[in-house]
Amino acid sequence: MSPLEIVILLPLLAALAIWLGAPARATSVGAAVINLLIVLGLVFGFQAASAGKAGFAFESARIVLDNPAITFGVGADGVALILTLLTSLVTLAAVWQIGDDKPGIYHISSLLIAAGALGAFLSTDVFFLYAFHELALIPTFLMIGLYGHGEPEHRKAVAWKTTIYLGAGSLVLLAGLMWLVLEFSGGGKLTFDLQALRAQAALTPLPVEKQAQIFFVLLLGFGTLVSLFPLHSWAAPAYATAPTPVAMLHSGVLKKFGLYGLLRIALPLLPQGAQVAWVQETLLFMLLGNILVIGLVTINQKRLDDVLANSSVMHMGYIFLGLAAGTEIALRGAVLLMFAHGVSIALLFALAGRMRNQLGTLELNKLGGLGEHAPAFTVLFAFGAFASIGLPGLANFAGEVMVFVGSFMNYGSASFGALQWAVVVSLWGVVMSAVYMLRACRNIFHGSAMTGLFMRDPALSQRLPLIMLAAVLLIVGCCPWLLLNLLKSDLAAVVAP
Amino acid sequence: MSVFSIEVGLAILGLFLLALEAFMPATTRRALAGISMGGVALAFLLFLWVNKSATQMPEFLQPYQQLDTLAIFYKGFALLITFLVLWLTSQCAGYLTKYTVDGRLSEMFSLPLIVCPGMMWMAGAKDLVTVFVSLELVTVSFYVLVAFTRKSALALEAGVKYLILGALSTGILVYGIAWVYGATGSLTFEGIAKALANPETVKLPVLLGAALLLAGLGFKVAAAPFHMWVPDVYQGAPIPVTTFLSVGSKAAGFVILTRVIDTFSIQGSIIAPEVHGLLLIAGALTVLLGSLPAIFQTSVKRLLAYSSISHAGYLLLALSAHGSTRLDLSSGGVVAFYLATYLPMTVLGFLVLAILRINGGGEDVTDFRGLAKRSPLLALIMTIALASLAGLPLTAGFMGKLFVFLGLVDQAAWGALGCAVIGAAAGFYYYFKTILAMYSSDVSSSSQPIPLNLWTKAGAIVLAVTIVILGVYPRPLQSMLMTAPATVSAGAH
Amino acid sequence: MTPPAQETSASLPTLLLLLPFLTALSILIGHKLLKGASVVLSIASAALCFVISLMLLDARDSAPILLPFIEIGKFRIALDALIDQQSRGMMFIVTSIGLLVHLFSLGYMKDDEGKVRFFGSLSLFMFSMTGIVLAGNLFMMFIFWELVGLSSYLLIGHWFEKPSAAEACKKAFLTNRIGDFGFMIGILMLFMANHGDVSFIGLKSGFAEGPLHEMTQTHTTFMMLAALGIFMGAVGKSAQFPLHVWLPDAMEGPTPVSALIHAATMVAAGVFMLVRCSFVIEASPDAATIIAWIGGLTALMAALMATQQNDIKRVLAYSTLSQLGYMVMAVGLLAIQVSVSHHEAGPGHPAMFHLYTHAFFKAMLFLGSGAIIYACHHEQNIWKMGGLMKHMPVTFATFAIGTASLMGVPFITSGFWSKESILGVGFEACRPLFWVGVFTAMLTAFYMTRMFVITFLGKPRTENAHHAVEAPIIMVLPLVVLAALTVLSTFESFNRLLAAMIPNHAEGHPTVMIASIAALIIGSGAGFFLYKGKDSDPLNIKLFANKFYFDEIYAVIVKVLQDQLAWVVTGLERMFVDGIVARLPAFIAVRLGSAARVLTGGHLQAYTFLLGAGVLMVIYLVVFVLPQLGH
Repeated sequence: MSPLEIVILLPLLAALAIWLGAPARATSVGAAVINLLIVLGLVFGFQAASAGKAGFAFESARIVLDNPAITFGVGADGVALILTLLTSLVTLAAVWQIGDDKPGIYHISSLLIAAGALGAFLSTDVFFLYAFHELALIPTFLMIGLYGHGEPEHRKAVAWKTTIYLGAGSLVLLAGLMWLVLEFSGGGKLTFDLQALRAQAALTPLPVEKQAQIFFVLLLGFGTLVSLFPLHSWAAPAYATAPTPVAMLHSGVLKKFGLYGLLRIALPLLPQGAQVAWVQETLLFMLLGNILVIGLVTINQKRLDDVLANSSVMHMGYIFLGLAAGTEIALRGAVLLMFAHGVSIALLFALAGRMRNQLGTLELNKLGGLGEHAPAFTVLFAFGAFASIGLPGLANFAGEVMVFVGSFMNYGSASFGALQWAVVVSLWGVVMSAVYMLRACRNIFHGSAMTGLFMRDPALSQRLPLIMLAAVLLIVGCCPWLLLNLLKSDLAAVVAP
Repeated sequence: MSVFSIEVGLAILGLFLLALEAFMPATTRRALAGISMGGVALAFLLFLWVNKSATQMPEFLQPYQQLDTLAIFYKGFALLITFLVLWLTSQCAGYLTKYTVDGRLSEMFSLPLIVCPGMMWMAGAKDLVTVFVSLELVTVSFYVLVAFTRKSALALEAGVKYLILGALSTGILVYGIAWVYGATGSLTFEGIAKALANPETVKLPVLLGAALLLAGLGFKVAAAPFHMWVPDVYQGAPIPVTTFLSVGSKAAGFVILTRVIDTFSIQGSIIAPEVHGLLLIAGALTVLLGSLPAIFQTSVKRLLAYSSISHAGYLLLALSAHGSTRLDLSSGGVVAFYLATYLPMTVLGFLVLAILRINGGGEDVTDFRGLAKRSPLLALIMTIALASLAGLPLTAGFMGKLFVFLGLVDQAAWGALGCAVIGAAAGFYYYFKTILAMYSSDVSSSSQPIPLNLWTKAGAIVLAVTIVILGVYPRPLQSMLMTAPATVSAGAH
Repeated sequence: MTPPAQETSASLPTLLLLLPFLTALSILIGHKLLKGASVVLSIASAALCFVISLMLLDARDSAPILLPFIEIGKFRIALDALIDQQSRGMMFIVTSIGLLVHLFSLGYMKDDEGKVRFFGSLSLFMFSMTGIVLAGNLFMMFIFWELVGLSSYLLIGHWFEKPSAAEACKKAFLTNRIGDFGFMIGILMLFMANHGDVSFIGLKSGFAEGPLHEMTQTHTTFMMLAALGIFMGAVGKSAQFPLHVWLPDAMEGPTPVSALIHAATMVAAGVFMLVRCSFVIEASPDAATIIAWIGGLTALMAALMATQQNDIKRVLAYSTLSQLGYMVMAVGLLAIQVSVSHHEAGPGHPAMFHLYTHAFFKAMLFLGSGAIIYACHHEQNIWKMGGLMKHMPVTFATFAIGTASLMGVPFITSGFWSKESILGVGFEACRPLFWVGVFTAMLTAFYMTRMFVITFLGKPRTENAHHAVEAPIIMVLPLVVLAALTVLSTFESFNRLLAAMIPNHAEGHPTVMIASIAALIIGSGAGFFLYKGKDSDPLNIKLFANKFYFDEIYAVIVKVLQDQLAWVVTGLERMFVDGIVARLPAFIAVRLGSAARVLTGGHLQAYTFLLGAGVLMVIYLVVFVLPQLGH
């Protein structure tokens, strides 16, 4: 039995235990801690485990169906491992900060979402990669619909929108995946196994135009799950409304699934498809929509949760930029950015949730002067905020700079292509994100405290998970090579010829 | 001893029970239930044992009955669903008697024993006459069952509608059979297939016959545009009967449809393209007409009726993929697979509904409020059932949909696929509505916990686990249905 | 692609870089335990940095790799230092003034409850600034470029409960971000053009005979844009027009911060960087011209504004702007000169020379003003001072030296020589700018005299001024030391040691000297006679007093181009994107659904009719339609 299977099953078992009446908090936190430890162990053991072999480390496969060949296969390469690490970090923080007054369903759904993400990241079979992601659908739906913020009608409406939007998106994705599978198993036996599909793709690549079409369908499907403009309008309300742990897990971790899918399935199997001009340009157009349009939308927000939610939609644009650039540097940058964004946004949502509990409002113009009462809280928030606007020394910068640099690798040329222009525009997006983040900081922490709004620093026990996230941001920000070394040559294969 | 004797035995047992009730009214309900369920259970065990030894029908039946994989599967399916329905009936007996004349319930236990052999014969039918006879045996018994709880106006109305429309459709079916016979000069699937494969056959009359035949069968399986009776009848009929209708009779209808389609779209058949086109159109239409109106339903029972319509749509789309070589399953196999996944989730849905009724609840979505508090187990199980109906991965429902979609993508039927996707998306709404209600904290009418006897618990858990297992490990089921292409096509050339 | 590392000399710079970082980090983590000790820690690290930079002064040129950052195959972004005379000199300035400011703050921030945070931020700044000075490639430069932005944000906003301070630090950071936007583009363009090598050595050789060499001929526009992109970074950091608006507001920070960051070091980093990248500018005469003119414009404009300010720190702030403009102009001018006459520029660079001298005397002036403000109980309006000469003799003396230096009193002040060298280049490269420089020099003399007269001469105009007493020794000491350094930097020997530039045009043209001396006399004379014994400003020029209304104009631009645009876009996004992608399909589905319900309306008659109709439909379809669609 592969350790990865344990990593996937543990949250599920913990959730079941809680449903059967085990002490919710202790169980979930315990499971999260153990998971994190296992994952750290895997990270350290990875170099040894994957030494000299091409495919995945810690592999195991159990046949589920012969034709179409579906196996419950798990395995980890650098990309999967980094995202697994992200998941276990955020999960721990998320379940840790759930208040004792909250019902067990908080823990159960958090664990289910985590399990779904872990399963999706670690599956080496397209079927389960897809299936696990759906595991999060009902928990998310229930948590937003029942325990979300705001008026009952509002949160119900948001829950519906999110669920149906994501459901429809994943159905489109399913269609795309099946098209892919059918095309690649030309005439012969259908297979959902990634390795087999890759082998097929290497052996007999599809005609470029067909590649482009399939890639586009996958882009729409995965894109919906990553809130790629213009398929994004579910995301911001969902994150702003969702209970804190769900917001943390969904925006921090689960959302990365779409990008992971493109990186893991679409790009390697349809390398030329991604490079076809019309696909490229459409993608660039969409991601610039994320950066420019949503950037402006974010500037217009009046509540902190809306700002964070929209900013998280906006920042997806940079990761897509990395995928669009398609050079190895840019792709690695995208992976790093996925990790960094996950940690930073989770940290910010955790803090915002705490503010909501203590102050009862997140209206920016109602807040102020928190810096005096809650210095530690302020510092933690600053870590998250400055990370998310790409300050050097914090994780996101390394990823962003790699994406930008990776897009400028047409050496010796003295003219800009669409990609380079896109980078120029996205750089302006960096300025915009500074605008809304600093505005938020200024309104919340600076100035003098509003009467009646008082807030103290969280107790150390409550602070620990947040400090953990902040520390990760700093460490990865100063030594990005720690993570980058894990990637080894995974993405070299993905790079288009 | 052959499968046939089992079927006959069941029928006789059914008649015996009818008589018993008539001559000695004293017999307790419990006894009746016990006997009938015991009988079916025994029949099922015998059936399994027989399959090991003799896989041949007795000599005199050879022209009318066959025993291919599909037939065996559906015969077993019929026995299983009959048993479950009887079990459900015994669960619901308490509240059903409120609506029956002087609290009698015996026919509810005896008639299914007659329906069951009917369905089993349909499964093995080799010619249209057998089809028709067994079909009528089933339908007529259903006329009685639907209207059985006479004291409820809804049930009566349902009975009348089902009777009249059913009779009409039967007429159409017969008319279609006549045309087909006239055009092909044969009533056996094999003969019809031969005639169709032969280019000399005149096309127009065959088309007409096929159209009428398919229309008639379409009514039985609730395919659009012949689905309009379903919501009323399903809502009016007593829950066990509704279950029987939506699983058993649908399955029976589809086994015949499978045979017919296999025949019509035989290699080189002159009407294959038309049939294929009709299936795609009807399937897509059925999915839409099943899912979209369901958005508005507030009664879970009626909602399940619409859901069964849309599922019929997916099954038709599955049939449209006839001759797809990519899967190990023929289109007929996929249909069988789909129905196998459809059985536990539907039964489970109706079971929970029934339990709510027994505990004085209604059949509306609002009656599900706070179920998670009243009985966490029930809520979880219902969630699994609904997730499976909605076709979420890791549940049985997804595997079925996966095969259907694969078939559609394979034949590049983008339009139909689009409709299927829309239907599934709408499904997220109307299935999740109930889930949201179950977990919502504002408890509605009654809030006292729901008592569950051991058997109910056990049965429910078994069904739920089946759903999950089929969802993550469908291998055994699939291998059971392998080599399922009906022998007709083989015999054709 | 990275220069050959010399392990021998890697350890010292690494230590120099990490020391303040670790200090800041440990203060952040352990301030609860350390308490007052953290102040000591911070000062100690500053002192150590100073010592190390002294040790570096006679280190040989090298380009050691300090720390890894990103390394993938042959692609690498590392923290690699470039130790040469320029960085050595700059490092001396940064660490020496840094140390002095640390000491000064010990007194100035004595009873500030945020003292620990203040010193922590100071250490963070020392770290970032060292990084800029050491940087051996543009990426590393950019990294620390943003980090000084952060530390300046923290320090300007030290008294964040004051709304003005909160706004000021936000403004500073955002304005710098705009500059960095261009900077990054410039870096990326060079990265692309020079095949992924943006280390200064690599770029230099790239321009000498590498890929960039012919591009300077073939793609002039591209090279100009790249140069301007790089320059934009400097525009932000060194507060050049049009991004100069943040620097005056930055005076909201504590005065020591203004001295260190917003006068001596950080704002000068822009100039430092431009000189580092001089080869980029020299490659494009157009860019050089633009840069020179922007510098000149800033110098002139800021000087004009300075003449009408009444806040002692703001006067100094505008003079800083003006002097920075001078330096930038010098960079541009020298680049023009080099690109015109194709001979390599000498080791000296007038801009750097002025940077050094200015750093000392401007830091001193700021600290002096700090001492005054401290003595006058945080009074900053010069009209509420006066007659401080006898109350604060030492401050007076040092301030006098500083003022003289800034005005450029001939022969005896360092300011004179550095200004000479700039004007000298201007005289040869671009006459109009030369005259702009001279005029600015005159204005400088004018407003400095004005301030000096109003503050120190005459009699005290308020109680505060009357009871002002000399600042404590811990604050006076740095003033004295800086005064000494100012005077010292007049002598060539000292500058040699500093590797500060000996102007490469040793003997200035006579016209230059005459002009600047004349400017000095006219300016200071006017200032002296106009303001001697006045109690309120005789001149009143609204335009200058209101800084040419830049803030107002920008406020409008931000409002329209950002907030209102954002509002509109939000509306459109909700209306169309969400409307078309999400709400419209949902609406259609619902409509269709309710329409379809009619079919199952419940009337038996209707059903029977539908059944019949259905049959006919199927027949029609199968018999007539489908056969036509030839399969």
